[in-house]
Order: sequence, then structure tokens, then C-alpha cells
Amino acid sequence: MEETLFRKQPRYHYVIGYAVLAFIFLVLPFLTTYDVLVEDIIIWSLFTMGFNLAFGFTGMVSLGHGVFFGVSAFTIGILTLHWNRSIVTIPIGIATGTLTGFVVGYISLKRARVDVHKALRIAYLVLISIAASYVTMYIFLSPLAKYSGAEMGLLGFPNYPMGVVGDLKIDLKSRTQIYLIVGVVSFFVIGWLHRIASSPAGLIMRAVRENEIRVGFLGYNTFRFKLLVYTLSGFVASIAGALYLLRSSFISVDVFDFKFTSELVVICLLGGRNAFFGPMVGTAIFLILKDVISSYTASWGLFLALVLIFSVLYLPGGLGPMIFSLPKLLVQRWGKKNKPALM
Amino acid sequence: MLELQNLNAGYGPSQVLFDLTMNVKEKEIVSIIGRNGVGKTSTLKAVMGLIHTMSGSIRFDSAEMSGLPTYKRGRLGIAYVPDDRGIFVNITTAENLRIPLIGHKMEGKDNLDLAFSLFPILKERWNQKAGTLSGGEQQMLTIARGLVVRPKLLMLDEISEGLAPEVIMNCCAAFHKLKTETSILLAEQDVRVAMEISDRVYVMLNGSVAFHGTVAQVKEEQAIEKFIHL
Amino acid sequence: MHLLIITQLISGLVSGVLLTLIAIGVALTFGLLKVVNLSHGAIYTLGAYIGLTTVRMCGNFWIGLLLGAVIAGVVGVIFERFCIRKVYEYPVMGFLITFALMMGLTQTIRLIWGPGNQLAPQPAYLMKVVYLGFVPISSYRLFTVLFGAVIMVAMWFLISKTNIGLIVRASLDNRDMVDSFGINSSRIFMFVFGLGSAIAGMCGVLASPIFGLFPDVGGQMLILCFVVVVMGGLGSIRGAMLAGPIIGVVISFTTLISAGFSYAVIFILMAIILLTKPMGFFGDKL
Repeated sequence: MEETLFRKQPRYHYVIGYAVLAFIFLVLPFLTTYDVLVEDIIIWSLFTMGFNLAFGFTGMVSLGHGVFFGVSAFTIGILTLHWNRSIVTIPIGIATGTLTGFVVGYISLKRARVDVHKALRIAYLVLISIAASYVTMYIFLSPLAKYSGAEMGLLGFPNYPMGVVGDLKIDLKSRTQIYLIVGVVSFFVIGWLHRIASSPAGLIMRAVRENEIRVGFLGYNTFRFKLLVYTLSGFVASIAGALYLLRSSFISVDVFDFKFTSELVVICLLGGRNAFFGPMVGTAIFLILKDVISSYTASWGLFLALVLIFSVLYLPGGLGPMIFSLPKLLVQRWGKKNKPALM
Repeated sequence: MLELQNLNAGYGPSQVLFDLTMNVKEKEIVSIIGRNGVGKTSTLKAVMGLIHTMSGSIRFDSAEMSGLPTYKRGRLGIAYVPDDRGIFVNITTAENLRIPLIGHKMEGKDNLDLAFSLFPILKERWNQKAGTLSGGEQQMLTIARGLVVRPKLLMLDEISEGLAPEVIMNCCAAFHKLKTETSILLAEQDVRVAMEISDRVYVMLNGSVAFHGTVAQVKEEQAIEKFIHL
Repeated sequence: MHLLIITQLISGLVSGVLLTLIAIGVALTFGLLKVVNLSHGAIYTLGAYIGLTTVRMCGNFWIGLLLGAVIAGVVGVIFERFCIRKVYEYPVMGFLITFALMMGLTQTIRLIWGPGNQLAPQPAYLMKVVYLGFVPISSYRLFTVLFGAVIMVAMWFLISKTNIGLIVRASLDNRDMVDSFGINSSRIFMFVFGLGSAIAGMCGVLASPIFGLFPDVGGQMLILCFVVVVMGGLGSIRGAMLAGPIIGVVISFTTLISAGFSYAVIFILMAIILLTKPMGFFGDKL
């Protein structure tokens, strides 16, 4: 597996990259009629990139992130509707989602010690996360039904503005305000995650994926580290859930289903598990394809499955890295054409 | 009978054997000695097909084995006794010994007599789960497993570990007697045992052969002092 | 009251036996190939639908049962040979590819047979009610549990008393050594996989009148199988045989409250087991 760790990119790569990102997040939604799709891509990119830190970088296969996403969204929604229409519900919701992430992560990882075969470790994670999704779905469907709206989902969210401070309010029905919030938050969180991923912590994540025992020998408490990464990804999932609620004004228990989270897995695989921005590419491809294919046929799922099989067998690195090396290739080719004497 | 020519092999992308050339003829006992990590175990594994061969040839009875999967190599008459013993821990001693017989389509108690004469304690542990045997007993079991199919080539990895000295001596005596029908390739940490039992010796260093010759030649050239006791 | 308890108990045992049979396939695949086979549930579903179509075409339940088993077995072998085998070394990929296979197969089934519930075929002469003492039980369920038990015994016999079973048990411990003794372990695995799939397919036909017949039924079944396998110990057949009936009974009693509740209970149970005795009843170090 070719790793390009700490490849020091020239400064301007970062500047260009972030400029493009800022454009997509802050400007694009206002420029196109496909704004819902773009917003979806933004929110899902955030979700998947956070998820990928746990899944792709650290190798923790979890199908529970939909739970954290949903718990955060539901908490915000329920609190806003029944308690207090102010922005304070958002941090509470995100905190609840993150806490759920911590608990699920703790249970899943506690037994996944290094003396146990790797396949077993992954099996534990998968099974506990599936279990969590079922339990949460049950909780929100039965005891909490009158708050959660049971099968129909949470209704009535955007009807009143959300108070921020004093007289400052967020009009939940104003697209501009919502899009700005989503864009700014996503941009900064992703930037923060990118810093983490490019730091030594990112290296350790990948090291844990490859050979956890050795990382332990180096003196790291891998359980704590993995739990930290998992909780972090849960935190990002909760933020994504909050943003989703703000944008769509709706949330239903469908997000708890592990099939929902498995879409994240597919996206990460498609886009590249090892590249930080890979999942963003994957999200774009996935959502656009889903949009396009669903309008032609009902068997979107079958197509997805075939794509997945193909990628696992032949493209384990994902499409992202290939697309990212494209600009460099183009520049090299162009450079060669202009300076034949030196080449 | 066994010929390795310019063998390059390793685990995935990391190469451990470099241009290795070695052979074992009929009716002889050959040892590979060297410090930890020089590639003794890897050589045996490469012959068995358990690690990835990048280039070079492995011939057994003049037939090229490079493309063959492990089970076909076993059927050609090569038996492997690994350094971690490779015991099937959840099945009984008896069943452990039956597996090679099934694989080589052999029957019969007569093959087991040799094993019993060398390691009588196996009879006592016959119906016990192999995982409950002591370390030394497991070592005996795994050697017995290798012998039970009367292979043309028996490859042993570090058998001196975990066996009491008298048992090792018994084995050595037995191997000398077996020489006529079973050649032996021994990867050994314990230089004295290797020199005691072998006809020829290969001294490995950094994944290749640094010196080879008869036991006498090794002593003359002080190969051990040069390449092992650095 | 007693009647209710006994009825539920029997019902639980019936489901339990079926769960065990399907779970054995999952347990073996995990033990041998170190892969959690998520497509096993879809294979169950496939068998069920093949049975349905066969019975529609020729009217004979037994042929449907046979054909369901055979085709499921074949599909299983195809999956193993061309997809799962390639990712043996990479557990994450194994999970992903079996997941994709599950999705693909389920979607294909949905395309062919439609997304709705179907009426599962049953032989007419088994649609009676018989009495065990004072307890009524559908003769079909009785037949199912007996048939299932027979298959379980046959599997047990295969694993413990035959050469192939011995090879499988040895391979669970150390596959490379089995190969080194001249045994083509890949071929054996293919056979085992095929057998596990055939049994799952057969259970599909057998269990449809009890569990229902709709495209996602295999997925739901699979989740329960996982709980059985975890409880019994990943890779352990004996464990599955013990855990299956237990889970079956637990489900049949908790379903009385609600389906969601029974799922929640099962999963909390599984979480507890994973935390306290992660190896299940008989799981050994892997």
C-alpha cells in the first residue's frame, strides 16, 4: 500500500484547496438551482469525513453513526419544540449525540483488545453498532413516540425563529441564513479535522489500522486513542445531524437504521478511505449518481451493490486519490510541453 | 532433490531472502544456521509456499515448484514442522496425526510405530486435546506428524527449543537412521545440535548464504565465528 | 396461562432450531475464512423465493425444498469462489464485500419477485393441528423442528466423525498446516460454504410459513443469527446449537410485548455477553 504521509505540499496547494472549498461551501449553494443537492453534499461530506477518520484511517468499522446523527438531531428538535426555542438546544443536542458515540464506542472497543484476532475485533464493532442502532430505533419508536413522531418523524420544527442572543434570531425558514450557517460551520469543522488528520495523530490512526500491537509497543494506549477517534467521529456526526435538522427541518427514525450508515461506508470506499478528502469526492459521486439513477430506475440499490463489489475487488484505494492526482498530472504534462529542452 | 536457485522471497513488499541458492540431496541431513532474523524460517516457508516468492526457482525432484500451491507441494513428499509447532490445538493427538495421513492418502498403524518408538508419551496422550499437552509434548507431536507420512524431505524448524536433551539425542539418532529414505533440512538456532547431526551446513546472513560446506569445513574455516558470533 | 407459556416455549424452540441451522453457516464461515458473511441472510431469502416459485410451478413442496437448497448452495459457492475468497486477508474488505453481495442479492430478489409479502407455501397435509398432551401445535411446526433437529444431528455427525469434519476442525486452528499436509483446504472450504448456504436456503423454504416471505426477511434473520453466533462463540458449532434455542425462546416471549422490544432485549443481551464473556459459550481463542 503506497502511503504518502506528510508529503509536504507547497503552500499554494493549501490556499487553492481551501479557496475551492470555501467557494463550494459558501458561494455555490446560492448560485445554482440544485442548491438542495449541494447542501446535501456539504452536510454529507462533513459527516463522511468525520466518519472516515474512524473507519478509513483507523480501521474501525461501525454502523452506528446514524445513531449519533439522529440522536443529536432529535434532541435539538424535541427540545426546541417542547422546551426552549433558543440556540442553546443545539449544543445540548450535539453533546447528547457525542455522549452516545462515546458510550457505543466504549462498549464496542473495550473488548476489542489486541490479543484478539483482527477479524473478531471488527466483528465486535460491527455487531455492537448494529445493536445500538436497533435499540435506539426502538427507544425512539416506542417510549419516546409522542416526542419523536414515531414513524412519521419530527414535525413542526421550523415554525418559529430560533433565538440566539437578546433580540438576535435565526429565521429557520430563511434559506440564506441557513445556508450560511451550514457552509461556515462545515468549512471550519472540516478545516479543523484536516489539521488533525495531517498531524501526527493522523499517522497514529493509520498505524493503528495497520498494526495495532506495534502501536501499543510504542507506548500508546490504543484503546483510549481509538475511543477518542470514535468519539470525535461521533461528535462530527452530531454536528452533521444538527445541520441537517436546520436545513431540512425534519428528522425521522430512518436514520437509525444501519442501512443508512452503510451508505457512509460505501461513500468512503468509493471516494478513498486513506485520503482525507476522499469521502468528499465519494459523497459527490454518490449523491449525484443516486439522484440521476433513481430518476430512471427503482433498482438504485442493485447498481450500488455492483459498484461496491467492483470497488472492493478492483479499486480498494477509492477514486479520490486518482482524482486528486489529476491536477498534478495535468500540470506536469503541460509543463513538459512548454519546456521540451529541459525534459 | 531440493534445489533453490537465486531465490528472492518475502512477506508482501518486504523482502527477506536475497538470491538464495541452496540444495539438499538424497540421503543427507542439511542444516541452516545463523543468527535470529537471517531468514532460516523464511527459507523453509518459501519451500513450502507459505510466503511470497518474487523470483528464482525452487525445484523438487527436478520439478519446478514455484507456481504450485502449498497443498500440492506437500503431496510431492515434503513435510514441514514449523517453529511455532503448528499444532491443531482443539483436536486430539490422534486426530493431529491423522490429518497428514488423510492428506497423503495413507492408512495404517505401521506408520505410527516410528512415532511411538521415538515419543512413547504420545500414546498416553492419545485422546487428549493437543492444546492440553505440555510444550515439549507438543514439540514431539509436531515432529511425529512430520514423520508419519514418510516424506522424502522433512523440514524442521528449531526443534531443539523445548525438547529435553535426551529426546533431542534420540531424535538425532533416529534421523540418522531415517536418512536413507527421508532427507532432512533443519533450520536450527542451536549450533551444536546442528553440527552434531548434519552432513552439510549452510550459514545464512542477511537473507543469503554466507558460507556452506560439510561440518568439517565449517569448523576449519571458522564460519561460525565469522558469521554468527560477530 | 400455562398453555401460553408452553406454546411460546415450543414456538421459541422451533425458531431456535431454525436459527441454529442458519447460524451454523455464519459460524463456520467466520471460523474458517475469518469473514463475517453478511450475505448469508440473502441466501436464506433466495432459497425461500426459489421454493415459492417452484411450488407455484409444480405444486410439490418437497421439490421446492430441494431446489431452494441446491440453488442457494450454488449461489453460495459462486460468492465464495469469486468474491469472498479474494478478501480473506482483509477483514474490513470481507465485511464490505459480503455487505455488497447481500445488497445486490436482496435488490435482485426484490426486482424479480416484488417488494411485498408473499404467501409461503406449505404442504396441505401438514396444515393440521396436533396435540402433544394438552398443548396444540401446528403439525408443520412439529415437522420443522424435527426435520431441523435431524439436520443438526447430521451436521454434528459430519463435523465430529468424518474426515472432512476433522479437516474443518483442524483448519479452524491452523489452515497453513493443513495445506502443508497435502490437503486442498480451499476446496474443502468451498464445500463447507456451499453446504452452509444450502442449509440456509433449505431453511428459507422451511421457515417461510413461520417467519414470513418478503425481500428483507433474510436481513432480519441474519441479525438474529449474529446474536446466536456471538452468544455461542464465533466459530463454534456447538455454541450455536446451544444459543439458538435460547435466543428463539427469548424472542418468542418478548415478542408478546412488542417486536421492537424483543429486538432491544436481544441486543442488550448481546452487548452484555460481549462485555462479560466475549467468547460466548464455547468460543476459543481465535
